[in-house]
Amino acid sequence: MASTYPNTNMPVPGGPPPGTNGIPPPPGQPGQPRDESYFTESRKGEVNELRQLLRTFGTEKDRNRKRDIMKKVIAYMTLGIDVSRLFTEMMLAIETRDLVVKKMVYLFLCNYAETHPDLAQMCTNTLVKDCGNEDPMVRGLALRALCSLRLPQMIEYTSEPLRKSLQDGHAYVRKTGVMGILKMYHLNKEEFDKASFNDILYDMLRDPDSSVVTNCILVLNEIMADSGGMALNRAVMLHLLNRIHEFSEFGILSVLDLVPRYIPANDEEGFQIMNLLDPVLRTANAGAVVATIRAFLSIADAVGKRPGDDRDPDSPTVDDLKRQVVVRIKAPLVTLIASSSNELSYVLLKYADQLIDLCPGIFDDEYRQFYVRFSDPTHIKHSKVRILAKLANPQTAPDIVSELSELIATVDDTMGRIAVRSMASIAIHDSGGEGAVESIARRLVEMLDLQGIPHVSSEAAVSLASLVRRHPNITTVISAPLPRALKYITEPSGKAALIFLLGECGDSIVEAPYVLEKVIDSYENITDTGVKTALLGATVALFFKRPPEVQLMLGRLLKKTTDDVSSQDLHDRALFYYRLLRSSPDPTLAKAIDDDSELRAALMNEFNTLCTIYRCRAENFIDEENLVKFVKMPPEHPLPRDGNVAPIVDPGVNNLADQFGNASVTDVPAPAAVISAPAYSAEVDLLGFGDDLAPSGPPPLSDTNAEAVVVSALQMRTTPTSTDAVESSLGTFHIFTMASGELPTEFKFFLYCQEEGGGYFLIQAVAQKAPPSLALTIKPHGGDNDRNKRREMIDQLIELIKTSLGE
Amino acid sequence: MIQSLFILSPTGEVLIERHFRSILTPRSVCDIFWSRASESLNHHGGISAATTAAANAGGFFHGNNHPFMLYDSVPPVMEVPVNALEDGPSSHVEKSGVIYLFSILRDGLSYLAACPPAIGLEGPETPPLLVVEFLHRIADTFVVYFGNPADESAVKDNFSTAYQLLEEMVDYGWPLTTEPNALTDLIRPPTVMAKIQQAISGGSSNILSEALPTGTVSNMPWRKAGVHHPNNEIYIDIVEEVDAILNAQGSVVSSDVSGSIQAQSNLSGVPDLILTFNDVSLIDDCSFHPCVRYSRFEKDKVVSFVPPDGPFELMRYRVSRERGSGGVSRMTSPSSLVGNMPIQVLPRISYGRHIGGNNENKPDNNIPGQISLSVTARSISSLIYSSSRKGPLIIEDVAIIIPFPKFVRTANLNVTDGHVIYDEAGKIAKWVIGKLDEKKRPQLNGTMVLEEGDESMDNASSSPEDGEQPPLLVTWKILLASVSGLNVSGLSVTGEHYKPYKGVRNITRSGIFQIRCH
Repeated sequence: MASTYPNTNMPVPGGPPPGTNGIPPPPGQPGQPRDESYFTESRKGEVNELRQLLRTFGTEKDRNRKRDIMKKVIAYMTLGIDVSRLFTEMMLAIETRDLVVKKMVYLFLCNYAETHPDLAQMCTNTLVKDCGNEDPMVRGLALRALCSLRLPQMIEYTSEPLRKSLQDGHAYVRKTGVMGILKMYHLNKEEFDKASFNDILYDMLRDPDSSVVTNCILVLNEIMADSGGMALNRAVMLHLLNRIHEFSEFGILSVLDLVPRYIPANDEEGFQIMNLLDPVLRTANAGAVVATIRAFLSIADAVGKRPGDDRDPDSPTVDDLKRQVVVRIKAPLVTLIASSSNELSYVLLKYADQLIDLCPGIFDDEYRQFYVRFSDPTHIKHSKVRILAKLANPQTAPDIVSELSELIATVDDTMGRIAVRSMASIAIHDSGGEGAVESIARRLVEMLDLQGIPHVSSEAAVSLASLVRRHPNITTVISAPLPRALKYITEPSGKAALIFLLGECGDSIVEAPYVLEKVIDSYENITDTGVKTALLGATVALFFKRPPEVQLMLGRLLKKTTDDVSSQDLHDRALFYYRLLRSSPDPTLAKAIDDDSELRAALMNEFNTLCTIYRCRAENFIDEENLVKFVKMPPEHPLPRDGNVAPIVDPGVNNLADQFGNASVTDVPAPAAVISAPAYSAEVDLLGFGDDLAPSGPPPLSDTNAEAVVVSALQMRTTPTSTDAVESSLGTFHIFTMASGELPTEFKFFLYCQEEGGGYFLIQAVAQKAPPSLALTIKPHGGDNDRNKRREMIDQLIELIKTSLGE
Repeated sequence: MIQSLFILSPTGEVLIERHFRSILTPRSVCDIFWSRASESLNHHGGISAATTAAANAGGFFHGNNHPFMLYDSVPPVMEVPVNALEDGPSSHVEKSGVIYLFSILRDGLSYLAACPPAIGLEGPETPPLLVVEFLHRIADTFVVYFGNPADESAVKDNFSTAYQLLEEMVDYGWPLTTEPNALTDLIRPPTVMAKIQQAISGGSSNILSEALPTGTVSNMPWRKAGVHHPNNEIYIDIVEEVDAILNAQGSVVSSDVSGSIQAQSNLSGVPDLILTFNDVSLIDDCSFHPCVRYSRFEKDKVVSFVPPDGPFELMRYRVSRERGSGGVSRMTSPSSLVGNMPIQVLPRISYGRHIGGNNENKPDNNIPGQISLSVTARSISSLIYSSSRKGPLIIEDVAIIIPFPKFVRTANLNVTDGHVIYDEAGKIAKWVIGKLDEKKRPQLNGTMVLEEGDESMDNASSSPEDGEQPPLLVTWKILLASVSGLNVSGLSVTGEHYKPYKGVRNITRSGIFQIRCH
């Protein structure tokens, strides 16, 4: 059928029925009722009769009879009867002053041009000539016909009239021409590119007639689709926006659709655009209103402040702006929804839904507008009920909930379900204010008992199950009717939910285990996997709450479920529970599979010990007295932690410097570390040195960027026997030890001393055992800022150490 | 961009088919549409079936947006997979795999627009509302040309004009000329004379009038050029519609008042009108016909416009909240609105069986249902009467439509006033009361015979739940009254020299006015 479709079909009945012989009845004879007689009589022979009629066309004087003949031809054409044989005769009729006949001939021509390109080419001249007719209607029609011929070889004939039409004095011709450009584009893109119409189209955006501009935008958008549509700049955009009131309500849409693609030059301009567009919200056309909303939101996006933006703190954020936009458009949108046709309302409701999600709360006070009317089509009712739930706040919730409960018993099952679900969602989102959760739960519980409408009670059960997950404290409210409801709720989803609830509310329902037992005993009759899974879960949950009552039935159930091969999932779950319980019937074990993140964190601290292997903390398997205390050292590090403290003085000491650079707490083995705190100072005092010379405690460890000085390979007299020996000899020079330790090949000291000015020197000393040598790193800390003076002091210090330990 | 347009008859037959581009949308999309549409019809049973019947018969209930034209249709936007279409789609459609089908239903006809999927194969994305609005515009135009209702027979009688209209309204898939006034410049509407002549003679069709279109297109798309009327008149109706849901006790569950200003302009030349109101603060949220200069309204609160010729809707508005809260419009607490409607309908309907916790009252199918309705009118302070009005409150054109649930087999109804028709197939009764004043208290009493048999008990949808009695629909009209109190305080004409006759009146009437029965 499709292959025989005319591209542009136009049955034109309306005349009197032709007599069976095809000759129009004499005037005055009462006609048959004008049934689709053109469509019913479709004998092939009539084409020949039509040809006869058409031959008389030239001599026929009566215009109406002429029209009738034409209409017959067109009617045949739309029926799919091939009347292309009449092409020649039809083309003879093209020279007419009767616009109606002309229209029909054009139609015929467009329809058969593709199949008869040669013949079509013959009448191009006439068409081109008509493009210059004095009547703009004829010019427009001829141009449209010419562009609709769909003959690629005709491009050369079309582009000239097309170009001329764009300068036509009459808007009707110009807009037809603009659309003609698009037709040419689809016909032959290369020729089109050569003709370079794009620039002309951009110029024509300034055409005084708005419908021409509309067509320009449409055509440019389509031609430039690959690069995202018509190119926009500030001049074009502002020009169009300033003229927006001239556009027809459909034309306005094409302009509005450009706005989201335009980036305003600055905030000010964005707001100006919004002000320009504001009156469009007053149009009665829903399409224009929604396109304006979209434009507003996109501008809000462009000019609003985003987090992290270093703009004026007073300028509004994107969210603020969007909120303002939604507040502004609320009234027009709601009015449109209420007063439009069903089809528009439906689409608008979908948009409203999205806007409500964008800015919750703003539409709340209009909730009555979303009440379902009996006469609404189903899809509108469903959308409204879904939206109603989103409009709940503490003030509106009571009304909304009671309205929703009016809807649960309607004939439409889906509607009832959505109503129940919407009601539950108010409770789940906790948007109904204080007490709402409980009162909704009560309503849902009442619905469980609505035996007459099984889908509602089942949906209520499902909703209650979600509600309990969100608000576990409502179990007391809902528990009473559960065992009863299990008897008459038959829908699998509802049944599964009820069983889940029985498991959850096991504490407050005395007979819960016995109700479940009945279900377990009739396990073979359950066909739905969901119900089985819920039963398993609920029984296990109940077992942990009331072990003695449930143990036996759980065993039976586990047996049945592990034998059940209908669902892999169910089988595996059952096995899992079974093994878990077999390893320990202790209900607290359930906690073992709970969260073990604490243990894991603790184990990380004892990494690389037995603890990891046993996955257990050391205190669990080692006696307390044998426990090694794990202490990190030093509690405070004397040197800055960043490794680049030591600029290299001498390339020869690279290695050592590196060593020092990398030195950190871990370099000092903890077990060997002997803490020698400033307590030493007291000891030293006993040896007869004045308090006044002792530093007033360990230096502050805040990092200074003073450079350190490294001195390497000082010859030592002898290998020091112990750290103490070194420390005491240094102590005599008021150099004190913070920490020290012995390594297989060397001793390490962290020393400090104070100069008169109050500055500290921090010293790291590494004493090699063999050959005895000493490497020093000295870092000044505080004190005099003069580099030279400090350097001097350091030299003195090195000398001091040399005298103490050196040869 | 609209790729193809189809118009289907109430029985699903393709009346008009038009392809705007080289792609031929397979006709089978209509079959898909129709099968889905009839599915939803079957699903929703009685009432909608009756409506289809009514739409077919063209009787019983009339009107465009009559509340009872509830033809429960498919969603207006549908995705139709192309592989579901048997007959060879053209290559473009095949690539995309899907087309979008927009549909609207007007006067029993389904208008379908097939649009290509979102981006770029044959054109850019189309905003859905553009398509829906445009389909409505086509239907509106048909009404202008073929009269109301523009139903199946009207379109069949005027095929040629319909196709010519489409030709002018759409060019290459985009809306082209959409203003009825501009269209009548291009295509002459069928004239009354021509129709009469045709009816008498059966003779040659004069559907297109003798005078050829002038071809002059005015620069105001909504107004045709060179209008001349022997008598220059303009009539303005301020119509306020009360949408409300009342419960069985007569209290208001929800209500809303929306107004519109309908005008009929028969003015010669290019008149420039300025309409001023007594108090604009009475109304909220206005939307205007494109001819109105919005900025003027924003600035001076006057409606300044050059009217289209003939009937048109000048503006729509909502009655503002401040006003409404004192009257029949919205309120925070529904209970305080008891009795605030000018008309009160108290239904009492029972079906002789009870369902619920107690099963003592065994359902007995032989007990017939009972129905009684009482209707009263009452004058309420929130209605503002025009100064020209005299005498007591009279409510006109009162009618009540009573849909019965499916399990009612038949009903026997008696009324004290007016007359009642019961449509057995559709299970709908319509009680026409006519004029109602405060003295008259019409009553309807009757019994219903219910369906027998057990299946009604098994089948959930037909078990008599309380909620299943569909709400009653009431229509009424009060002349020279207004909820908002909005009135025209002045209408001046500039740009022309004549002094037109100006007529203004207020009407308050029911919009969708429902009474719940439980």
